[in-house]
Amino acid sequence: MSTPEPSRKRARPDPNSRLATAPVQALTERDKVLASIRSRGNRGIWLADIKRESEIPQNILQKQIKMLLATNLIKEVKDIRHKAKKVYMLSEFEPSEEITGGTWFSGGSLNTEVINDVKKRCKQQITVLKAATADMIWKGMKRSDANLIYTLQQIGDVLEALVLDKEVEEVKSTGKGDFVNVPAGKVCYRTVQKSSGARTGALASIPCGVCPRLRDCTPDGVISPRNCEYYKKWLGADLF
Amino acid sequence: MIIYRLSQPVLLDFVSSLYRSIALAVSLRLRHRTRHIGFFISLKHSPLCSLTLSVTRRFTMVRQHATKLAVEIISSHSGDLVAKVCGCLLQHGTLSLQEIVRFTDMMGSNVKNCLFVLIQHNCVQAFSTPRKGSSDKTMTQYMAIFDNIINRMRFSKFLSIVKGDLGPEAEALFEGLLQNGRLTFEQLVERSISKEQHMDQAMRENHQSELRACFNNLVRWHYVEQCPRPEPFIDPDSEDQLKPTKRRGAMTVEQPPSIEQQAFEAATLAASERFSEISESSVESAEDGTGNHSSATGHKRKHETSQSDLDPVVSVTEKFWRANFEKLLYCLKTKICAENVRSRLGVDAGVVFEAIMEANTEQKVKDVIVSATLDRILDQLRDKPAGISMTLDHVRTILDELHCKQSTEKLEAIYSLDLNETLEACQNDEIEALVKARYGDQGYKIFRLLSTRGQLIETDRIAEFTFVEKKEAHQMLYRLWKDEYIESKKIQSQGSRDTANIFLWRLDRKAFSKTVIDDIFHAALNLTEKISQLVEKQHKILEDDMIKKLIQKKTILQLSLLKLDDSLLLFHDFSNYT
Repeated sequence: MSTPEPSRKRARPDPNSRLATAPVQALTERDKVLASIRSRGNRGIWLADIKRESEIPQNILQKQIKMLLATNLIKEVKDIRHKAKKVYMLSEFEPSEEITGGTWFSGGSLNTEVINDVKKRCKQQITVLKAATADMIWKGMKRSDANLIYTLQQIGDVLEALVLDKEVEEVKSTGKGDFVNVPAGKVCYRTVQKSSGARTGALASIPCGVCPRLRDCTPDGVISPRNCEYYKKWLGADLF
Repeated sequence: MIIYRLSQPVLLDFVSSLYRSIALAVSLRLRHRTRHIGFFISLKHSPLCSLTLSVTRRFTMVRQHATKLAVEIISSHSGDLVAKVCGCLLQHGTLSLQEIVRFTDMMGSNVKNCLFVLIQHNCVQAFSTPRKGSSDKTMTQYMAIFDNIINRMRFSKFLSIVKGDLGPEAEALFEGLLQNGRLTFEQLVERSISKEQHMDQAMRENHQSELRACFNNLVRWHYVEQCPRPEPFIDPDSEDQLKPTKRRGAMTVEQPPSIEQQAFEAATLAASERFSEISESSVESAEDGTGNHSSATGHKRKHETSQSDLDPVVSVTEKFWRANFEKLLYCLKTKICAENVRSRLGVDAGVVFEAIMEANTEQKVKDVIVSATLDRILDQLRDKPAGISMTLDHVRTILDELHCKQSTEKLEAIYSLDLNETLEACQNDEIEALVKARYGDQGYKIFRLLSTRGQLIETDRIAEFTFVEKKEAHQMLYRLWKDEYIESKKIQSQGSRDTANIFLWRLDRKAFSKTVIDDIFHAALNLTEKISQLVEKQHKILEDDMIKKLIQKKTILQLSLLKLDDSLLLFHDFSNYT
C-alpha cells in the first residue's frame, strides 16, 4: 500500500471532518451568546455588550441572534431608558421594571389610558371621602376592586401627579369639618376648591403673554405692537 | 463679572488701571443701578487694547421696557416735551438742569417748565448738593421717581378705594389732588367752589367747613399726606453719609445708601408732620396771606443756602398736600391678597385676613410680616358686616389656618402673619396660567413640580414625577430654560466605560421673577402703544359705527392694562425681589 504524495495545492477540506466540526463551532458561538444574555437575567443585555463579552464578529453575532430569536430561546425587549438600543434576554425571563418603566409603561411608552383611569379612580375616592390620606384612598380602591394590582406607593405617585395637575390639593388635616375622618396634622388630599375669587392670569389673557416673538418686539422695530398680527386677530383686523 | 482675556501680558498693569478708572466713572454715573454691570476687556486681536463695556442683557432689557412705559405714561398725560425730560432723567439718572439741557437739546426755559410739571406731579424730586470747589454754594440735582410715574396708571383704582372707604365727597376732593399732583387745602377749596356756580358767602363758609372735615378724614386715613421737603440738602462727602452701617450681630456690612436714597429720606417728613390735620385757624391765616411760619403749617423747609433753578415755584411757605401712594398701594395689597385667601381658605378667612392687614400699625407696602393685637383684629372685624357675627373661637381657628404666629407682649396676644405665603400663591396663580398658556399641560406640570420642590431635580426624576415621556420632558425643560424661567446644571457621571452628562433643573424664584417683571413691563408698554394707536385712529374716523367699535376695543385694552397692573403690583411693588 503506497502512501499518497503530498499535494502542492492547498488540501481540500475533508467533507466528513467539515460536517463534524461545523456544529461544534456553531454551538460554541451560540453558547457564548446565550451565556452573555443569561448572565444579565431580567435586566437584558445590549447587542454591543454581547459583542464585547463574547468577542464574536458582528456578522456572526447577528446570525446567532437571529437563530436564537427564531428558536424562541431569547426575546428582544424595549428599554425605556434607551429606546434606540436593542436589548435581549432569555425568553423565560420577565423584563425588570428598570427596563419596562414599571406599571405605567406598555410597549416602551407611557400608558396614558391606564394612568388616566387610575387618576379618575383616585379622584372618585377623594370625592366620596371629602379628605383622605393616600392609605385611605388605596384601601377604598381595594374595597371597590378586589383585584387591584397597584401598590400604595404607586397610588401615592398618582396622587402626587394629581396635585401637580392642580386637580387635588395636599393639605394638613385639622381634624374638623371635612377632615373629621383624618387625624389632625396628617397629610391628606382633597379636591381643589375652585372659587370665583381666584385670579386668572393677566399676562396669559393678552397676546403678548403667549407671543413667541415678544423678546424681538419693540415699539419702532419690524415686529412692533402697532403691526402685531396677534393683536389684529384679538381685536379684529378691520380696525388696523 | 469681570473677564480678562489677555494675549499680551505686558499690558496687564495698564489695563488694570484703565479698568479701575472706567469702573469708577461708570459706577459714579450709574450709582443707582449698579447691579449686573459687567465689563469685558478684550486684548486678543489688537495690539492697542480694545475695550468693550457690556451691560448684561437682563438688566438693560428690564430698564429699557420699564423706562419706555414710564415715558409713554408721561407722554400721554403731560405731552412729549415733559416726557423727553422725564425719559432723560430715567435713562441717565440724577442730573442737574444744565446736564438735562445738554442731553435733551432743549431750551433751558422749556426744561425748567417741564421740571415744574414733573415736580408738581410728584414724578421728580429735587435736592441740592455742594458745588464742586465751593463750600458755601450749592447745586440743584433732579431725580425721577419711577414708582410714582407708574402709579399714574392706577388712579382709577386709588379713587375707587377712597370712594369705598370715605364716600363720594372724599373721592371728589382726592381726585383734585390726583389731577393736580400737589395742592394746598385752599386751592382744593377754590377748585371745589368753582364747580358750584350759585353759592353765597354763608353757603361757601359752610361748604368749606364740610370740605375741611372731609379733608381731615382723608389725612386721618393716611390717604393724603403733606408733600415732602422740596429740596433737601445732601452732602455726599460727609462722613455720616459714606459710613457703611453694620447691624449688631449681622455678618455682612450693609452698603452705604446711594445719594438718591439719602435725598429721598431727607425729603420725607416725620409722620406727625406728614399727617397733621388742618385746623380752622391755620386755614384762615393762610387765606390772609400771613401764614403762621413758626407753626408746623408754614415753616420754610428749604435749605437756606440753596440756589434752586426753579425758585419761583418750589419756594414753599404753605402746606402742600398730595396722595399718599404708600397707603394706597398697601390697600391694593390687602385687596389682592384677601381675594387669594378667600379663594383658598373661604370667605371668613378673607375677612379675618383683611382685619389683620387693617389692624397692622406699620402699613408699609414692602413689609412681608404684619402683626396686630387680637383686640385690634376684633375691633376691625366688628366694623365689617361679614365679621360682626364671628365668634372668638372661629377667629382663632382661622388665624391658625392662616399660619399666624402668636406671641404675648404686655399681657396682650399679638398675631404675626407672614405674607410671603399669600404673595407667592398670588404670583403662582399668575405665572402658572402664563406657563399653561405658553407651554401647555406638560410644561405646566413640570413648572409646578420645580416650583413646589424648589431644588435641583434630574430630568429622569422629573419625567417620573409628572408622568411625561423622558424625551418630551427634556424638550420642555429646555424650552423653559431658554426662556429664562428655570436654571440648569450639568454634571458628569463617571460610568464603567464612559461618562454621561446628567442635567439637573431648578426654579430660582428671584431669577424668574425678574423675567416675569420684564415681560409684564413689556406687555404693558405694548398695551399702552396699542391704546395710543386706537386714540389716533379715533380722531381720523368719521363713521359712528366705527367709532363705537373703536371705543369698545379701547375699553378692552384699558381693562387688560388694569388687570396687567395687578400682576405688576404683585411682582414689582409688593415683592422684595426688585
